[in-house]
Order: sequence, then structure tokens, then C-alpha cells
Amino acid sequence: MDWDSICFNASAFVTAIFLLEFGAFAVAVVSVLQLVLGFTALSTSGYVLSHSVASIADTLYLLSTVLGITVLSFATPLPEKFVAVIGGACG
Amino acid sequence: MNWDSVCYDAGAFIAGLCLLEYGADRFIDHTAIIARRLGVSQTLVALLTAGAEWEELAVVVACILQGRSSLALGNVMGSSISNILGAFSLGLLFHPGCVAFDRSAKIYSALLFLITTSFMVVGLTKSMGWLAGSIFIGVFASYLVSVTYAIYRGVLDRPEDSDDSDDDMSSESHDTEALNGHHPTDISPLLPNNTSGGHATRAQKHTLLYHVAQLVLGFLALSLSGYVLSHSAASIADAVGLSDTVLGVTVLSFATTLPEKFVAGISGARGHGGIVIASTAGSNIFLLTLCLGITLVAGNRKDLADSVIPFELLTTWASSALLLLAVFLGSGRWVGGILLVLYAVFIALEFTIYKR
Repeated sequence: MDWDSICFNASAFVTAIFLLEFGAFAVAVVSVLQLVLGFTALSTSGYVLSHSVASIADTLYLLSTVLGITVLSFATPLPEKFVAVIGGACG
Repeated sequence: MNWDSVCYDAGAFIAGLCLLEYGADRFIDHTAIIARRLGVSQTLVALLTAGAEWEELAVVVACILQGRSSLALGNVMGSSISNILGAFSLGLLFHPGCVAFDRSAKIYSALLFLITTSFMVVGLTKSMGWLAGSIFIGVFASYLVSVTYAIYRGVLDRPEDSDDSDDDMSSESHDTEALNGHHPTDISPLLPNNTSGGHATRAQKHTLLYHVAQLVLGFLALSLSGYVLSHSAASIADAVGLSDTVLGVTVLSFATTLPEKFVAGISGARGHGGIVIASTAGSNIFLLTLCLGITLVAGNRKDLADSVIPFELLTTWASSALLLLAVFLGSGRWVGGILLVLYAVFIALEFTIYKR
């Protein structure tokens, strides 16, 4: 089992989720420059997310469809949930 | 050349930069807020949080376990030079106007200068054994205790706007002081002051726990982005076909110190001079006491004595002397510019004359 590649892919996955958030925020703004920046961020993060999930699936001998359905759909909205939970719990 | 993997690494690198920006942003804002709430200087809080260089410690331990203790020593010296000349200079450069440093910044930069001087003496006299190493580790332990104690008491110095530090801890201590010190008289208002102040602050702000959670989140984001950045930079350089030395000196050391540079630059731009100096002095104290001590205790003694290059040792010492001067005399943008130019000169010298 290649631990180094698993670690890197998992970290790249988490990192790309933040890029996704950034892109979503930027697209919501009116300015053209931010719009372009946001779309670039969204497409990059989408590419990195899918690639990292596929690599992890390869190393763990799982079907990437299964992993895509479970992990990807579960993890992508996590930052929003996290912020909401922190905000709610601590006032 | 494997285009797919290069593209993937480049994408991961961009995502890492974004995460880095996010983490540094959280980290700086909430460090400043927590420091104001606790009524202690920003410098002290940032010494503990921004000064902890766990990834450097991991690199040092990995080098020693592989039996390459000279590489560990080189990494310690290189990072401490780049922290002052590369990161601190950026902080000064982005800081609007003149930077005035507070008392704890002066104390800890003087401490850093003392530690660096003793490291140079140890290195030049070739007396690098387990004794010197355990002394360095002991210095680190007492430094940690002193910073924690100073934060706990909030005595080292108080920021100007200590009015809004009415959180639970300080109001409790005021209460007990009032009870023990002097008996309540007719003049001293007991309840009205405290309750109104407490309610006003509680209504506007989040609790302290919220800010600590955000600070931890920012810290995790910074560490994760450091890992992703260095890993992806290394594999891109690998795929492009750069040699090992060039890779180690430029790409890797640039990518691993990127978080420090970001933190220094952003906090400088927002006018938090205390965080800039604390992130520099704290990281260097961490490197030159704990990491160096572990290297000296566990490393191969003969290997270490051979690997010391006087030029790098002197540069480490000179850069910490420059830091001390900049902190004590106060400094503006031009000092940052000079330090950055010196950093470029140092890297150029490393490549040309002192090639390894």
C-alpha cells in the first residue's frame, strides 16, 4: 500500500474543497474579474477533486463510482456545515 | 513526461495556495482578537501559535532517522535564515507606515539573538555533543514555560485598548482582587459596572471559545496547505527533470517556507506588527533550541562537526543581529527592502560560490 500517495491525494482532496468554496463565493460577486477567477477556481477544484478520488479508489481497490457517490457527495458541503456548527455552538 | 500527473499536481498546488490564504486569514484575525480579549500582547499569543514549526521538526526527525544529520543541521540553519531575511522582510515591506514594536517583541528578539550567538560559539568551537544539545532543549522548555506564564498573567504588557477585555477571566480576577485587596465602600460600584460592561461586550462579540476554534481551524489549514504545496512542488520538479540539489535548495525550501511568508505579508499589510515579529522570532527560537537540540543529541557527532560551514553559521548570526537592530531601532519599509535584497544575495552566493 502506497501511504505517501494516499496521504497526498487525501490532502489534495480536502484542499480542493476549500478552493471550491472560494470559487463559489467569487462567482456570486458581480465583478467580471472575480467571475472569471471564480470559474477558474471552480473548474480547477473539480478537476483535483475527481482526480484525487479516482487515485484513492485505485489504491484501495474500490470502484470509483462507489467512492464518488459516498465520499464526494458527503465531503463537498462539509465546510459550510462546519462553520454553521461552530457558529451555532459558540454563539 | 506524464501530463496528467503534472496537471494534477499543478491543480493541487493552486488549491494549496487558496487554502493557505484562507488559513493565514483566519489565523491572523483570530490571534489578534484572542490577544485583545485576554488582555495580553499579540506578540505573546503569536509566539505560541505562529512560532510552532511542527513541519520543520518532522523534517529534522526524519533526517536523523535516515542517518543524515548534516542535512538536518543544514535545514535548521537554512530555515532560520529564510525566516528573517525572506519572511520578516515581507512583513515590513507590506506594513503601512513605520512599525513600532512592543516590549515583549524586544525581549524575545533579544533572547533569539542570545541563542543564536551561543549556537555560533558551539558551532565554531566544534563542541557539538549531547551536552550542548540537552542545554538547548532545556532552554526551549524554560522559554515555553515563560511564554505560557506571561500569557496566563497578562503582565508583560497590556495593549492600549485594554478596556474591552471584560471577558470572564479578567472580570473574575478583578472581582477577587476587589474582595481581597480592599473592602467595598460606599463609593466603589460593585454590581452595576460589571454587569453592564459584560452585557455590552457579550451582545456584540462571539465567545472566546469560538475564536479559539477558528484559530485551530486556521492552524490546521496552514499545516495542510504546507504539506500539499511542498509535495506537489516536489513532484512537478521531479516530472520536469530538475536535479536533486536544485530541487532541494530552491523549489522545496521555497514551497515549505511559503506559509511563513504569507502570514508575515498578510499580517504586515493589516498593521499587526506584533504578529510579524512573533512569527519570525518564535519560529527561529523553536528551530534553534528544540530542533537543533534534538539534532545535537541524536545526530552523529563526527558527521555534524564536518558539515558546519562557517559562512552559513555567520549568516544565521548576522541575520538575527539585523533582526535585533530592526526591532530596537524601529523600522520602515526600506529596512524590509534591504533585508529582501540581502536574502537574494545569500541565495545567489549559495548557488555560485558555496555550491553543495
